[in-house]
Amino acid sequence: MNTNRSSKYFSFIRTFVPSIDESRISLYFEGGIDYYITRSLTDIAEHVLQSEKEPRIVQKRVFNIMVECLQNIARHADTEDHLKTIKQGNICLINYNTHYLVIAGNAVENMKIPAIKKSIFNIESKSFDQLRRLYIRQLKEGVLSDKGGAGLGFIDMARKSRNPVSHTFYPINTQYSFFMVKFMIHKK
Amino acid sequence: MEALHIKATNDTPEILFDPMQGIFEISGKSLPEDAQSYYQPILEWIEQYFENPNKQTIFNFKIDYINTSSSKIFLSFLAIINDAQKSGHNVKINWYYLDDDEDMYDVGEEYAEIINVPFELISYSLDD
Repeated sequence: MNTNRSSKYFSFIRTFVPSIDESRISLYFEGGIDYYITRSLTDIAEHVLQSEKEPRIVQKRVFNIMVECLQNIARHADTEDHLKTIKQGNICLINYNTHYLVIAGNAVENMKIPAIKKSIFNIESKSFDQLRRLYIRQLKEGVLSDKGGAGLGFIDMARKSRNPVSHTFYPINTQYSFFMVKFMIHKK
Repeated sequence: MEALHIKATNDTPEILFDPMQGIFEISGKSLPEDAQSYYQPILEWIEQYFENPNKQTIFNFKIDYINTSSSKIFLSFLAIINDAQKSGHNVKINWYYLDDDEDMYDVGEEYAEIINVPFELISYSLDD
């Protein structure tokens, strides 16, 4: 695997996860993320997980988290480069001996940071059962946004990963920051 | 009313609704980015069916993967079924999950908790 990555957003991953072993990266993508790219990337991820002969439940959890991350980027990412019409972001799947990491990121307008932080704080340090209650409440009371989001994404990914969710924001300029989120999925 | 058959794609399930038999099946992956647009005509089809349904209607859900946008729409499905039951129709939901897939079991259990319709969680294996 190439360890001399100099791509625009990869440096954010290095800062976010300083202990990253780049030789364990199964998949890295950055650029425009739309329906077709999402489908291609999740096809690759599915193939990687199958070839690693992971238990089906592990494959499904990693796959599901990747789908939600990519669909979140395709729906919600802001673009600091207005020449780009497709939502931009990055996604990384890392295969360690004991677990997988899924790391996803995209630019967001700084004024949206408080709302994103609120969604994340809502799921941090919650037990599996508390996440379940939260999920049911949001399922019953939430409404689908005009972007097709159900407000369930972070809750569902948190409970699928069964591990604490980490996130960070890196300032890009006065208007935008780069939002990154990391999920750990243990192998059984 | 004619049967509704929509073939599965990479990210949408197979839909097989047979109004003559009163058996409605949804199976496969449900991961469309915009679940609302995809399922709206199907929801309308079911509402129309319940204007003049069979004596008994059985819904078989056999979903491998579901994204959160679809989870929300599935609740709309279940709400229609719930309303049909309240109006005196005989309905039942079978929720199939792979025997090692505790996540899909949880999804079924959560729906069963929310709605008030006979709801059976049925495990199956790939060898079945």
